[in-house]
Amino acid sequence: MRPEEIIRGEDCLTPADLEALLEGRLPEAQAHVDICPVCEYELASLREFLAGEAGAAEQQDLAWMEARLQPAAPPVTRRKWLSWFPAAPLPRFAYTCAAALLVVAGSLQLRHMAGPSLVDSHSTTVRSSQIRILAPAGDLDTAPVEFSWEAIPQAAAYEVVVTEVDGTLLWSNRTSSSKLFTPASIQQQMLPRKSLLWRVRALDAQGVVIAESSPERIRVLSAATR
Amino acid sequence: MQQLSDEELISRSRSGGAASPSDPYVEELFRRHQRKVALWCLRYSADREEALDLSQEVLAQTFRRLDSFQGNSKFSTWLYTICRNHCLNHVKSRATQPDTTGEEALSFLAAPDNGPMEDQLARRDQLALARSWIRNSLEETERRVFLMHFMDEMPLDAITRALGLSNASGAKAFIVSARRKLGEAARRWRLQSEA
Repeated sequence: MRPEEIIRGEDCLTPADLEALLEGRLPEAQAHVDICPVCEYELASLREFLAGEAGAAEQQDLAWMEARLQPAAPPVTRRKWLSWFPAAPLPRFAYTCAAALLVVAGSLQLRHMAGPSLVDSHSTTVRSSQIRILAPAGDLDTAPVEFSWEAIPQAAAYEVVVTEVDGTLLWSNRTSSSKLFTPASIQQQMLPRKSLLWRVRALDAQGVVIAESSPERIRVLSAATR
Repeated sequence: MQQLSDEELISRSRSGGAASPSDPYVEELFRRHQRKVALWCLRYSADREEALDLSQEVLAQTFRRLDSFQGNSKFSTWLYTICRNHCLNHVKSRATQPDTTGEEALSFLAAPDNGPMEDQLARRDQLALARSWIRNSLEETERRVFLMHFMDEMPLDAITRALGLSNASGAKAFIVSARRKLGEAARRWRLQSEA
């Protein structure tokens, strides 16, 4: 029998019960806390967490951590491609008309299309991606110890986002430099042969995104060592 | 946005499908609570660098699981359970010595003196007895150290840091005194039950 099984009973309170007791919504639960050291301990822990009151000796380290945790950015005004579409569904005939127009336009384009030009048009390519990623990229022998990119003159900060290929966030952090070190714990989460994507965004002093890199695929070939 | 409850923020972040880390409602939600997470992680870490890593892991894990939040409790309580479990797992995984706390606890709760208590008491009575010994015999800090060590299986050095104990031998002193007091309680109980 595990120690917890000896001293934790079926009548012990759930975290939701403890929360209700703290907020005065379940005062009758106090009688159980008065006889149960486990629930007394759990209640004290929850109360401490919710209070979030740092002692004098903790203030300096806490301030250091808060400065490095991703700060809450002001709302980013970003145009979403979904907003181009009307909220209400279009009537069915509208889709039929659109499809017919596409077929006509496509056939006209094919009729007027010339062969490939051998002359360089010197046209300027407009890209949404304005930050050039330096490293890491592609297959890596070990988990990357840092992410780096070319600096943008107007940028006040950069936000690095590492995700799995399905978009699940693995890690995100901000820096004012053009490189960001990877915490050891994050390196260890970069599992061998699992593809990840990372990108970097540049933010101005107001926290508005002013440039963004293309997503870069990376894959660690062997496990990280700490 | 600041007037919205945590649960309303989550609800609004879901209105456009799966929540995004750059969603302003998600950012506001995590802004409100990251200090609590950081402070808790600081108490469960050897230094602030480790605490920072731990905080980022907790926040990332919370974000990944945000879709599974069902509102059975408040978000802050749900976050607490994630943070607490993650920190406990971290502390236990870092322990260099093999963990024998379970056996130790059994040695004076299940078998405090001359044979297993389980043989003599029904489960319900055993539970009530264990609770009363801990509640009535131990001081508040002793109770806390005892439960952190024997129930959460935390190493003594981690408990010393988490509770900010400043006495010379830290949590070990409290465990020694708790062991002595519980032994005395067990002997008293045996004398009474044999009388």
